[in-house]
Order: sequence, then structure tokens, then C-alpha cells
Amino acid sequence: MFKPLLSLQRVGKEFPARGTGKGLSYKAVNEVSLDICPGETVGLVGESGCGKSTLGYLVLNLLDLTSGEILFEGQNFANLNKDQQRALKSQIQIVFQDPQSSLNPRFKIEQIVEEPLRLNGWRDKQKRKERVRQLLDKVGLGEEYLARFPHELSGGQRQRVAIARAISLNPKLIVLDEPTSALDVSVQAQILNLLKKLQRDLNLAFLFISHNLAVVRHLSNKVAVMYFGRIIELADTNELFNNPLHPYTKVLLQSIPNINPEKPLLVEVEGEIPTLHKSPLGCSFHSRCSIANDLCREAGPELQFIKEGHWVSCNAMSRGRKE
Amino acid sequence: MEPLLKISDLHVGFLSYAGVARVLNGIDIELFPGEFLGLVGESGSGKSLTANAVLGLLPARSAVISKGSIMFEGKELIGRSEKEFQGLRGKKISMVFQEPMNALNPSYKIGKQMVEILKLHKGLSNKEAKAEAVRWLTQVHIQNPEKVVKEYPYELSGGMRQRVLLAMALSCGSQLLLADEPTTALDVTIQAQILRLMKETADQLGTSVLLITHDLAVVAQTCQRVAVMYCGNIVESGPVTKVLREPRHPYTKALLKALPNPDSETELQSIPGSVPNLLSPPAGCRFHPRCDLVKKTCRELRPQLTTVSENHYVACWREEDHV
Repeated sequence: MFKPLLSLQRVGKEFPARGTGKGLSYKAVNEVSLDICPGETVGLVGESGCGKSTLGYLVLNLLDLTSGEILFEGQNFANLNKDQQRALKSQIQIVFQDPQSSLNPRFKIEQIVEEPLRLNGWRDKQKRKERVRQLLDKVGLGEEYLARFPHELSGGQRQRVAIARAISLNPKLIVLDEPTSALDVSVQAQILNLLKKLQRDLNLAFLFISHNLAVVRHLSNKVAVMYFGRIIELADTNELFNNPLHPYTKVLLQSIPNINPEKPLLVEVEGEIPTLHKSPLGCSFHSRCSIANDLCREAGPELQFIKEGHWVSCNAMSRGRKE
Repeated sequence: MEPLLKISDLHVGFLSYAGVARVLNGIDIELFPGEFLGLVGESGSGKSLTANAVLGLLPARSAVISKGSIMFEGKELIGRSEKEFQGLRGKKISMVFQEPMNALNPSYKIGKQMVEILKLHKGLSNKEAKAEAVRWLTQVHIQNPEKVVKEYPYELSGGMRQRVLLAMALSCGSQLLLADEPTTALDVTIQAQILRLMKETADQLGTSVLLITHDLAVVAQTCQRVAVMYCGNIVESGPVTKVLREPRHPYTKALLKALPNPDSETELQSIPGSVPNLLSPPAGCRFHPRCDLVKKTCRELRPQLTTVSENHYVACWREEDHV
């Protein structure tokens, strides 16, 4: 096996729950362990509020960890000095959901793509300009866009600019946080194809965060399903979609409307996603789970190895094994 | 059977400093009692605008209806006064919006907002209206309706808010429900719940639904018929099974191919080019600059919807070649 590029080890992030007056905190990310290998795409799916974006920000070191550690190429970010941290940060980049708000409206496209270069020791102006042209070409934008402002571009073109900026420093890992959710399907297809091509050409690893399971399936090598701050199932893409084991994953897959009118929506899950105030004890899914028992209401299960390339966190799995 | 809603040859333009943007370019829609009709298309194709025109919600200063008619229950809606529209909105024609937080008044309790319309349209007393509000909340499967009427919108989850909106839309006995991307802001498991609820309640009450969405799979799961819009025109309409399985218009075909398909690993096919500027739309068929089957007639004349099989209509000059 490859040595992992990025390794999350029991990573946790708590936010103080303000306004409750009880000094409570909210575990946005809870004991998450995950490896990403070079050139690989790991999909991270889950519903709003489950902690997927927070996890993405932790990977980028935009937030401080509450517990656990993150290793990038074997180095722990927390143990490095300022200069080393900076060098490491340029190896991990991000593309956000809404390019309208992630591009500076007062910068021209050239300035936007040039900025990371300027800040990372590209002193020679001519070389910078050359590089910007090259980058725009890589994402399929011509030279005529150099002098334009973001508002003059369509949503898909803006996302291309954001991608050009993200690859400008030759990163090894890009966190893609819902990169196509704001786009129409025909444009989404263009961007997904572009990402695939760049990944092949530049040997990039992606952490692909999305709530759109069809898109995740199309792009990812393996998929992690998050629910309420935890990874509840992790498997190779085909394995996960063909043989989901966690009750939540099953429900999630059944809830996707099928384009075939003769495959009706199956029985879906009742109830809502728990919130901070109504955080359930035990397994966080037990309040909506059809096979929950007393154990699930008391003890939260751990992620456990089922077979090569498949991990699940469900009490029913360990029950099944013991019997 | 008489259609409940019949839009014929509707042209809507918007005045702007640069000229008139022709955003609806002669659209025809028929909706029969008790029917679910899906209206799909990408952003800016004119889907929401069509619904707003039916409700008389086009901005009076800038929007011009230059031609066409909108018949509801056999009566013309265009040219009615604001007062007449007020009698229709919420009573005979209701709308459910994409973002329920924006559609509800944040500073009134749920109960008050529901009671207000029941008193106005049904002439109920305060007490009767309160009981009716609770009954409707039960109808849309809200647990604890007595508690929810005393809560503010911010205290509810997205799914709950959408249920409240649906209850409000149906509570005065509307025959026509315009649902504008009702589940786009929701998570998949909640989306499945709301879609099922909409279908159940509308079937039970015999309400007709015009479901506006960009998601073909949502249409496949809920509607009997679908109309595909591109750039202010309806390019194809017909039974869902026909249109999704045997699409005839190149745009519908392209749209379906752009969707990530779980059964194939192949590269997604995107539609070349981008949506044209409506201030100077292309002559002839508005899709011709992006179409790979374009011929001479397409550049000159606008194709009309023609029958290709029972209830299946396509606006494309290529259909001539099949005959």
C-alpha cells in the first residue's frame, strides 16, 4: 500500500455552545480517523451540520484541533515552526462552494491567480505572469480573461479561476468543499471532468466534500459517510454503494431520487437530524434507526474493520459477529 | 377534460438600460386537475418567472407581458387588478418557495402566520382558525402541533419549515400549487420526506401541482408529465417516462447525459458553450449555437412544439428529418 499523504488520527473539534449558560460544548468533529493517499479522491458525504466542512477546515489548518492529530507526509503540523508551517500550508489548498464569494471582487483574474505565487516567493514578475497564463490554460480559460473581474464571468468560469488559484503552488492535496453545488448540471459536468483531468496530470489527492452522492460516486475512490460529527462508514466507492452496511448509509442511498420513474423512492427515514440541544446519548443515529436497541441508546459504537476496504461503526455489526 | 391552467404563447420581457431582455419567448403549458407537472431547466431559463407570472407577481415597473394568455379555471389572469390577484393568491393558487426561512415572517409565531390567512380567506373566527391551523400541521405530519404554533420560524428545522409552508399553501383549499424548488435547500433524507408528503397531500385533496426544479430525478419521482425549458422556451414536453427514457430534443438529451451515472465510469458529457445573453438571443432556435445537430433552418426560424407521439411534443427542426 501507499504511504498516506494525509493521516487524521482521532481528530476532534469542539465549539463552545454559547447562550446555553452551562459551559457546554458542541462536538462538531468527533474522533475522526481517515487516511488519504497520493493521487486518491476520498469523498466525504453527509447532511448539513454533520461536520464535513469543519473537517475540511481542520485539514487545511484553518481551525485548531481540540484533540487528536493530523499528519501530512508523516509530519505533525503542530510540531513545526512558522516557516515550516507556511511551506506545508502551500501543499494543501481548497476550492469553495461559491466562487462568487471566494474570489475578491476588486481583483482582476490575473491578480487573483497571481496572489498565492507572490506570497510564496515568486519574485520575478515576468515568471509569475507566465505561470498565470499557463494555469488559466490548464483550466480551459484563454488569455482574454486575464484582465476581467469575477463579476464578468459565469459561475462555471469563476469556479475554473478558483481551481487555477488552488493548483498554482503545485499542491499535493486539494480540499473540494461542495465545488459544484452552486452550478447547473451541464456546467457541473464540465467542472467534474476538469477536476478528473487535473488529478491525472498533476497527481493530486482530493478530499471531496459533498452532499450529492451521485457526484461523489462519480469522482471518488473511497467514500466516508459522516453523521453528527463521526465517520459512521468508510469503504471503497463501489463497495459502499453496492453493499452499504450502516443503517444510515442505507437510508441515505435510498433517499436519492432515481432518474428512472419506475424505481420509486423507498421507505425513507423518519425524524430529523439531531441538533446540539437534543444530542442523543449512545449511537447518534439511534433516534432515527429502525434496528436500534437498548445498547445503542447507551453506548456509541466504534469504527470497526469489516473486511478489506470497509469499516463500519454500528453496534448491530458487532452483534452479528458475536452471534 | 378542461385544463385547470392553460398558458398559451406567453411572452415576457424585462426592460433594462441595455434594451429588452426577452426572458419568456412564447411558452405553452397546460395543467390538468389533480396532475403533477414538472417544469425543469437550468438557472435563468425562466422557470420561476413563469410561476410568478401566473400569480401576478412580476415587477410592474420593469416586466412587460407583450403577448399571450394565462387562463385559470377558464378565466383570463393577465390584466387583472392587484386586488383581484390578492383574492386568488393563497386561496385558489398557492406557492411554496425554495427557502422557507425567507418565506416565513421571522418575527411572528407560526400559529399567527397561519391564522392570518385562514381568517382572511376563509372568514374563520380566531378560535376556529387556531384549531384549523393545528389540524393542518397534523396533516403535514408535524409532531406536537400545539407546541409548534407557539414557536418562531428560527426554532424549526428546514424540513419542518417547509412542512409549515406546505400546510399554509393548502389550508385554504387551493386548486393549484406552484412549488418553486421546494426541496433544493433540504438534505436528501428530508427531501424524500417532503416529496412524499407533497404527493400524498396533493393526491388526497385533488390539488394540481406545478413543480419547478432543476433536478430531473425529483421530477422522475413525483410528476406524471414534464416540460423542459431552455432560455425562455419550452423545448420538449410529455409524459415523464417518455421524455426521460426517449428524449427527442438535443437539449434534453444533453441534460440527461450530463448527469453522473452510477452505472458508467465514462467521462461526463457537458454541453459546450453557455446560456446565451437574453438581451440579444440567437435567432431561430435559441439552442442552435450549442447544438451539434444544427442545420440551416435552425439558425433562421424558431421551431414550434410539434407532436412526436401521444402527448409528447418537441420543438426541434431535426424532427422534420424523421418524418
